[in-house]
Amino acid sequence: MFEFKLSRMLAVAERDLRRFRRNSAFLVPMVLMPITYLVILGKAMGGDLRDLPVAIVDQDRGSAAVLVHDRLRTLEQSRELFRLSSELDPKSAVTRLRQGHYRAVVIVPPDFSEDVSRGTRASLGVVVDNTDNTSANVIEAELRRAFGATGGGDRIAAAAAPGIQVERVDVYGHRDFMQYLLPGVIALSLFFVAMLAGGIILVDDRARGIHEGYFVTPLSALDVIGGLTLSAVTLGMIIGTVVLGSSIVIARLPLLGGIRTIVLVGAALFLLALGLILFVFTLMARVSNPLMPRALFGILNVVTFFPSGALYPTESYPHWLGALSSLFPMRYAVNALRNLLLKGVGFQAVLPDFVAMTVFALVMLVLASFLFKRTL
Amino acid sequence: MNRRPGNGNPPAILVEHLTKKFGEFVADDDLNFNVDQGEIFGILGPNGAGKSTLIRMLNTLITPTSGAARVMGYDVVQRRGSVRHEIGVIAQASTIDQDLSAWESLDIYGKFYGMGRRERRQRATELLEAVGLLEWKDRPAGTYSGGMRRRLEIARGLIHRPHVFILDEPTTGLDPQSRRVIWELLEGLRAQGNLTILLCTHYMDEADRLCDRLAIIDHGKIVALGSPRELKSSVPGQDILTVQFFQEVLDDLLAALRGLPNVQEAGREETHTARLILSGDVVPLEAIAEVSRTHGNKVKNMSLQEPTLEDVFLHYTGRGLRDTATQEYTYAVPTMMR
Ligand SMILES: Nc1ncnc2c1ncn2[C@@H]1O[C@H](COP(=O)(O)OP(=O)(O)O)[C@@H](O)[C@H]1O
Ligand SMILES: [Mg+2]
Repeated sequence: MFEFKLSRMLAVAERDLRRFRRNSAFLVPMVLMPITYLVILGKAMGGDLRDLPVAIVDQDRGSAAVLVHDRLRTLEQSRELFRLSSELDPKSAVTRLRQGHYRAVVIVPPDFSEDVSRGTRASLGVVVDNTDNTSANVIEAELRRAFGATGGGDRIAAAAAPGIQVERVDVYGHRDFMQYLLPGVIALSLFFVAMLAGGIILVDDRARGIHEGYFVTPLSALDVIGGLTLSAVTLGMIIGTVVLGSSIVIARLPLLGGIRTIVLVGAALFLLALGLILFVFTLMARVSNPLMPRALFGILNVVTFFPSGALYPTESYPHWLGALSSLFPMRYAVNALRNLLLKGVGFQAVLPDFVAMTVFALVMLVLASFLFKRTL
Repeated sequence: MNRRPGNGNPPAILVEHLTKKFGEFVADDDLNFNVDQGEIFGILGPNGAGKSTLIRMLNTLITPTSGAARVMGYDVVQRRGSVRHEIGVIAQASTIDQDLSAWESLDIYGKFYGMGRRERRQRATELLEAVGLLEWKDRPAGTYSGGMRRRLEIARGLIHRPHVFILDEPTTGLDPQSRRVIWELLEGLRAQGNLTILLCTHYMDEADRLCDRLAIIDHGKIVALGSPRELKSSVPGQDILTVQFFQEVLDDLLAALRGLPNVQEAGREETHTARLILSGDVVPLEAIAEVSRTHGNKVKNMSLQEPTLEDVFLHYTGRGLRDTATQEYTYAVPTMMR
C-alpha cells in the first residue's frame, strides 16, 4: 500500500509540469488573482468613509445651533466625512432617510440654544440609518467627538460647548451584520450561476461540439443566445430565491413592505441575473478553451463583488474603485436589495438602481450578439 | 468530366470552383462536381485532404473563400437558412449531447426545425426503431457505446426529413461490427430512394461498398472522379489472376495461356503457380481449364485480384492512402481536453 518508486513519482510530476508549461497562459490568473485581491480588497474594506449624506434640521435657530452648523461644516470640509444638506422638517428628513437619501439626520431641537446658555443638558438628536451600522457608528462617534460629550474627547470642543449630549436614535429595529451582508450574498449567488451557466457550461458545450450541432440547424444566433440566457436566468431566479429565502430565515430578517417588496426583490434578482449572464456571455463569446472561464472565475469575483458595497460602504472607496464598481450591476443590485429588504422602500427609491441594471443588461446584450459567431 | 446525364432533376449538390483558404494555406482548391438527387456520393481522401473543410462549406459552418456551392438549388452563402432546412449533418467529431437521452435529443432537434409535437413523436419513434435504439431511448447518451452514439446522430440528422444527408467520416473510430451496422443503415436509406447522401471517408472499402460515385481528393484537389468501377478500371495493370496447378507449370503451358483472349501476360510465380495479367471484363475460365487439360495439367485453385481504390489512389497521387500524413485539425476539442 505504501509502495512507491521515486523515478515513477518524478515521471508523474514531470508530466504535470510539462503540461503547465504548455499552458503557461493559465499561470497568469494564478498570480494575478491574489494581487487583485490585495489591491481591491485592500481598498474596499476598512477605508475611511467619505461623503456620507447627512441632513441637518435646525428647529432652534439660536447661537448654539450656529455653532453646531459650523462644527459640521468643518467636518464636511476638512475630512470630507459628510455631505451636508439642510432640511426644515424632521419628519420629512427622516422619511428621506428611510428612502436611502441620508445616512443620518442631525436634529437641533427648539430650545437647544437656551439649554446651552443656561448650562443645562442640551440634547442633539442624531437619527441614523442603522441598516448600515458601519456608517452609523462612524457618524455617531464623530459627532460625540466634535461635541465633546464622551470622556477624554476633544477638550477644546468640550470647553466651548459644555453639556451638549449627542443622542443616537436608530430608525430601524436591531440590524446586525448578517442582515447587512444578506443582499451581497444574494448577488453573489447570482454571480455563481452566471459563471457556471453562462461561462463554464457555454464553453464546455462549445468544446463538446454541441454548438456545432446547433449551427447546422435553422437556429439563429439570437435563438441560441436568447435560449441560453433564458435557461441561465431561470436557473438564477430559482437559486436566488432559495438562497434569499434561507438567508432571511437564518438572519431573522422581518419582511418589510409585504408583497411590494417581494415583487421588487424579484425584479432586482431578474435584472441582476440577466446583466451578469449576458456579461459572462460577452466575455466568453469567442473562447474555446474550457480552462478559461474557470481561470477567470476568481478574478471576476474579486473585481465585481468585493467593491459592490456588499461588505463595506461604497463611501469608503477611493475614486478609481468607486468608478470601477459603478461599471458593474452588483453595486446597484446590492444597494437596491438592501433598501428593499432592510428598509422596505418603494419603487421610487430603487428606480435609479433598476435603470442602471437595465442599461447594463442592454449593453451586454448588444455586445454578446455582436461577438457571438453563428459560424465556426 | 464530372457531368452525368442524371435523372432529369437538378443536382442535389452543385459545386463550382469552390476554394477555401486558411490564411495562405489552401485547404480546398477549385473543387468542381455535382451530386445527383438520390445518389450516394463519396469524398475519399487521407487525413488533411480537405474533406471536412468541404463539408463545412456545404453545411454553412464556414464561408468559402471563392467559388460557389448550391444545395438543392440554394446557395450556401446567400441562402444559408434554406440550406439548413434541406440538410442533415453528421459532423466528424461527435456532437451528441451526453446528458440527454436519445428521445430528448431527437425531440429537441425536431423543435429546432419547427416540427409539431405529433410529428416529432412519430418521426422519433420511427427513426429510433430504424437505428435500433428504441430500447435505449430513455437512457442518457453518455452511457451509449461509440456505435450507438453514431446511430443516434444519424437518427437526429434525419429527424426533419432532409433531402441531403451529409456525413463526415461516420465510421471512423468504430469497431468492425458497428461499422457494418452503419453501412447497412446507409444502404437501407439509399434503397428508400429520394435521399441524397454525401459521405466523406478515408476508408476505401467504405467508399467502394457504399458510393455510386466518388471523388478522390488529395491536398485539397480532386484527383479523380467516377463510379468505383470506372475508377478502378481506369487504372492500367488491370486484374491479376493467380492460378495454382496440380502439376508443375511448364513453358509451353505458359505460352498457350498467353495466347488466350483477354490474357495480356502470363508468368510463373512458383513451380506450380502461374500469374496472369488480364484485360477486359471477362475472365476466360473455361479456356484456361481447357488449355491446362490439353497440356496434361489440372487447375487446383484460382484467385482473382481486382485493383482496389487503394491502387486507384496510388495511381493518381503516387502515394498510398495509408502512408499519408495523419496530421489532423480538430476545431472543437482544445488541447487541454484531448
Ligand atoms: N480552421 C482552420 N484553421 C486553419 N487550418 C485549418 C482549419 N481547418 C482545417 N485546416 C487545415 O486544412 C486542412 C484540411 O483539413 P480538413 O478539411 O479537416 O481535412 P480532412 O477532413 O480531409 O482530414 C488541414 O491541413 C487542416 O490542418
Ligand atoms: Mg475531416
